[in-house]
Amino acid sequence: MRTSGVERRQQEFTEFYTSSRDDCLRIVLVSVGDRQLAEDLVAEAFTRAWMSWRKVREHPAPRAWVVRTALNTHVSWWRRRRRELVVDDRTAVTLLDGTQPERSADLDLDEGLAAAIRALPVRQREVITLRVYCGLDTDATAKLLGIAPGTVGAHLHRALATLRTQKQCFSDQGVM
Amino acid sequence: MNDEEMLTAMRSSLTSIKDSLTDVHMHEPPEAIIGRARSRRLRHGLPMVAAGGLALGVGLALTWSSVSSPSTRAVHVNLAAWSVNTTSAGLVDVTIRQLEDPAGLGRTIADAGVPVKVTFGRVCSPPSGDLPELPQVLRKVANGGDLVLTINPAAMPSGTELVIGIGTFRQGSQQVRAAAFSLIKDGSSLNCNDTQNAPGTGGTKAVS
Repeated sequence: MRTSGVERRQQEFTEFYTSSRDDCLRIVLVSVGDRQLAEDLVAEAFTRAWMSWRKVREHPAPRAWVVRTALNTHVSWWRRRRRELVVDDRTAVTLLDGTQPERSADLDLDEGLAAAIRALPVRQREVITLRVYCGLDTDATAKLLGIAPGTVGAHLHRALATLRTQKQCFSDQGVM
Repeated sequence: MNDEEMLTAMRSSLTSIKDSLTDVHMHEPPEAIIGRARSRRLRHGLPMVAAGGLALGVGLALTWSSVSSPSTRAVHVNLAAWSVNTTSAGLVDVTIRQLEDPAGLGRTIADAGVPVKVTFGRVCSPPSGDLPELPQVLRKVANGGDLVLTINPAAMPSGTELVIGIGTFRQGSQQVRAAAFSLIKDGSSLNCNDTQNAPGTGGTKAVS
């Protein structure tokens, strides 16, 4: 019986991971702007999700839980080495002649708006990410972040005020 | 326009950024995530089991030994050709300046808790492909011409070893120095190719 329970949970997690991983990676990538760092953070967040699966599976927004965990994960030893090159192709030979790695997907982002988001303070960025990309409302965002709904509103207000200053960037995209 | 209206107005532009990333995929299979969690539980759980005085089977003891040794073995070897240094975070920093004494380098890295095959002048890769944990195990740090690697032994699944091959290749009319990395299960077969002007057989050549 125990074995079947473990297998069932593993199957649940596998289905959740398979259906959520790309979306979570893209959300985190928008927020951190570094493909390899984003993958590390999301992998770590899903690892923690599996380790706490009993709790996460009952969470009202497990995908948002993963994104929030990824954004808060201190992968300190990777972060200290953010200038690393990436082993892009595991089987390919990697040149050592100082050439830059190939363009990664993060470079294809709309740099103006994405850079403005990434420049936000962490908490404001979390609020924007959870509200916009994870579709949480103010109360759900507040609960996930462990702060008051009014504080979420304050962070959202400040974030939008900052983003509004990027008038040229947004007007180019027809936002303002 | 209040904040909610502003957020609504911006939502399409903001989400379009994410939606444009259609070619961005998380390739790590669920088994790798679950395996990492399992090994982490094992690392964290076994000391408590031992403290409780429970008898450990031989197989379990061997598993613990292989998992714990990377974080308990300090190695600091700094030679002209290469350096191997463990860090307090349990990582192994490797810097290769000259392609010299690959066997010694391999032994030193192994002393630091990383099962490894090191080849200079030949590059080996498994015909069946790498294990998916490779990006978590090894990173190559940009540092001029030296090859600087950071290895995380804790991220290596039990029964695996790292394969590091470094050589000089001809690219058009130029010679370029290059490295290849793999993570394989112990005893896996490898396809190896000699590189041109293999420094391992023709003397020492600086990686610069």
